[in-house]
Amino acid sequence: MASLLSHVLNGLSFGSLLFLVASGLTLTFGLMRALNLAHGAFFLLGGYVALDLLGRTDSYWLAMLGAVVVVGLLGVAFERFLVHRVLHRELAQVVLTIGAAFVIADQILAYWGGRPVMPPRPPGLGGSVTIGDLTFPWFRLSLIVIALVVFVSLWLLINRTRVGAMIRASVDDEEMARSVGIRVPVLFMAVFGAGSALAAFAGVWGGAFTGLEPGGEFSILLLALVVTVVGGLGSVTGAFVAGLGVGLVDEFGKSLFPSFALFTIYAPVALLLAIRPRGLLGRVER
Amino acid sequence: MLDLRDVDVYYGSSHVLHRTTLHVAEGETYALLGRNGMGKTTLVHTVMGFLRPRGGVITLAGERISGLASERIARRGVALVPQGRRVFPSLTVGETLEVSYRDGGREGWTLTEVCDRFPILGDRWGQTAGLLSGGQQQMLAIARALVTNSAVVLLDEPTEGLDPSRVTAVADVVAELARRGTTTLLVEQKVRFAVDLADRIGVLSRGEVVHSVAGGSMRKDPAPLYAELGFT
Amino acid sequence: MAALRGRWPTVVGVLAGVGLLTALPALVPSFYVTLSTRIIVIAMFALAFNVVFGMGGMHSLGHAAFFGLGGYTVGLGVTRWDWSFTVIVLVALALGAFVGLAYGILTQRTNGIYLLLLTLALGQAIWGLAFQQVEITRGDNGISGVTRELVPLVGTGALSYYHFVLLVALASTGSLWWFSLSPVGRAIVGTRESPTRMAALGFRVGLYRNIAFVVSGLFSALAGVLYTWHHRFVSPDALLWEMSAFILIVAIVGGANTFLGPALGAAVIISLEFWVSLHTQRWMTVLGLVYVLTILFLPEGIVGLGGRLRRRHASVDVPVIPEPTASRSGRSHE
Repeated sequence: MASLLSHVLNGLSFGSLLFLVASGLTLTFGLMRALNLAHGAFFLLGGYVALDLLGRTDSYWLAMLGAVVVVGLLGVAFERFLVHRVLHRELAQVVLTIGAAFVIADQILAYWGGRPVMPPRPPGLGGSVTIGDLTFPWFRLSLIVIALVVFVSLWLLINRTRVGAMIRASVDDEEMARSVGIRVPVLFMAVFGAGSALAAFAGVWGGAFTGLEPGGEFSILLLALVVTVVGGLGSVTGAFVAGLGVGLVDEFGKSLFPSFALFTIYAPVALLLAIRPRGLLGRVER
Repeated sequence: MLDLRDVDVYYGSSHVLHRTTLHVAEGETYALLGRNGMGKTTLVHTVMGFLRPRGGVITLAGERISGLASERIARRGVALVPQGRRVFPSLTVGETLEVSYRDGGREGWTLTEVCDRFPILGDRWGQTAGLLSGGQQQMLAIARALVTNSAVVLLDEPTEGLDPSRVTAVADVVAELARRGTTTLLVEQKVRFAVDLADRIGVLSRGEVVHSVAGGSMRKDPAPLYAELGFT
Repeated sequence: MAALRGRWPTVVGVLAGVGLLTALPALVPSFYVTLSTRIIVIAMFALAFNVVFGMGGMHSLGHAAFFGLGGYTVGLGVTRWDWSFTVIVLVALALGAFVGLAYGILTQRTNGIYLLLLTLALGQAIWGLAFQQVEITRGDNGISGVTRELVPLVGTGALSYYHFVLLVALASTGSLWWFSLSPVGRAIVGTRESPTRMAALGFRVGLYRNIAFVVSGLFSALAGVLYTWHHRFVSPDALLWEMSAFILIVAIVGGANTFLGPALGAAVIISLEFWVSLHTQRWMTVLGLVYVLTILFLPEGIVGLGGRLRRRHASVDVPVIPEPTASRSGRSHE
């Protein structure tokens, strides 16, 4: 029983991490129909920059803040100068962002080396909680809490604020949104930057969970892609539900079918896409 | 106020507007007539910045707007009631109007005013726009353009698909815009509707403005217009 | 033969090219023979890929699966299951065709970004199998010691393998060329350009998409077969999605709108990889930049450069990388 609960919590905490990464992806796709495959590289970069800053400042929170800001700004610049030029051309975006990911990951390798590293856990979150037979690390629970907070905040932002209305209007009909004066290009930059910042945050906080190494950016990206797609491109709620789901499938898949684990994720996803391309909660293509 | 000079616009590889020239004076209501496929919507979309002219220039109050991004053109004072309504399906009526609202000063349109004019919008303030009926959406599309308090309003076949009572409501709005001194470009197929409201009338034929007459002269006998449009 | 009439300059050019390639090992230091073999194998893969991409207009990010399946057929057939040469090749081709058909069927209703993601997922599923069925495939370690004893070579060594690969490449290129000109091939191009019109004309668009995938899968698997025998080694790396992305950029760089463009792309990129790796460890950065710069400045590929310089200005801003027609919401304009 304790073992079952442990698996569930592990699955949920990993799923929470996936949601944190996928939320940025799904936001940028929903708004800009831009699939940013460099997202995983931002995740990685966030962790590495934080570690670098930690070495210099000895403050976890300063390092975290710095990493999030740096990568967020990089995301803004990335959108403004690169992604913007290939909007509405999906294949071009895919190739462009893959290329950027290669460059970022290789530069990380060149600058910081290829050893796997692990950002520290946030101070104060060491130790475990005991529920009956089960001991579970606080840190992993915190991931679930954070994912919930982020999810609720994003939902409120999109559905209950003026900015959210502007975003939804731009998603509905970009031309008409512009025609009422909504500064869509600025929105794009902001959303992209926010998504990248979220990825960086996940890289620092979640990196303590998964570890980081050059090459790792694509494994997390692929899983985040799975989450994004299953949940429906553009749906934050979908990403949340799918994230937790994929986390659980991954966890139980690994323990029940260890030699099939990767296949057990991708094959059903492929089937789902074939039958229902818009995923669980995505919108029907116009 | 709104000037198009020798504007050339292509849609894909087809040449839709040929050196089109059009002047709308400040405060004037100009009706642009033309059959389907003659380029009326293309012209309106080009003014709004959805399309870029390949040649010629469009100015607003003397300043160039052709080539600018749509949101900049909008902020300079142009609003559009597009063909086909094009409301934001996932926004509520209230959100649509709030997001579009720009302060128009004492004489400007307020949210309360548009709700008075279109009571249905006040009733359905919290309803998602996608669930409104066609006629209701059209009212919303018009209200959306009004609350931007723009100096120029473009209306592309605003009465299409509306029942007579709503057509009257639209006519009232156009008259009100004229009363408030808003420069209005009304694109239409319905000759009668246009003739009753317009100060000047033009006919767009194969991408060129062929005829441009004072509205008043057409009110008694619009036959020349029908002829120009190709109806005998 | 009708296709050749009046095209003698092209025929001469092709023969000259073939002659050059055959004589190549005699003209360059023996060190480059291995490199040339690699280029030819990747060029084969790129041409096969282009049947789906350039001809069919379908954006597939899962083609490494066919390539890798061909490769693993050799790896397992030689080291584990003691198959003959003929069996290995036939099984590889059959696998390529069969999985190609599966891809085609599963992607019937998808286009654009969803097609991309679906093929990615499919490719990943197959990679996952190879990676984790460690008992059969030895997982990440790969299968080494794949000897060339079975391959019908004249002589031994890199040189003879080069000629074997060249022969197979010429045969398959010729086949694909013939295919592209055949009614079926033309129908496939038609479905890319205007699927609704094709459907209205009575063509079963789905059928032609499937055919494209089958042919593409088959020839990609063949390239994979040659690849494993070239390296005498196969690992899940051949199935990585990065490989799918790689062949995609190779096709684009060369010019996906022409038949031989992808082959040119292979020559350019593999040579670049070789040269860059001599001087620096940062090949991945260079490759990434190639991706970015190609998309931004060279969407028609190298082959298209000549055309671009000739054209004064494009009459429309149409992206030349084949974009599926269904990916944008169309609005009627008067």
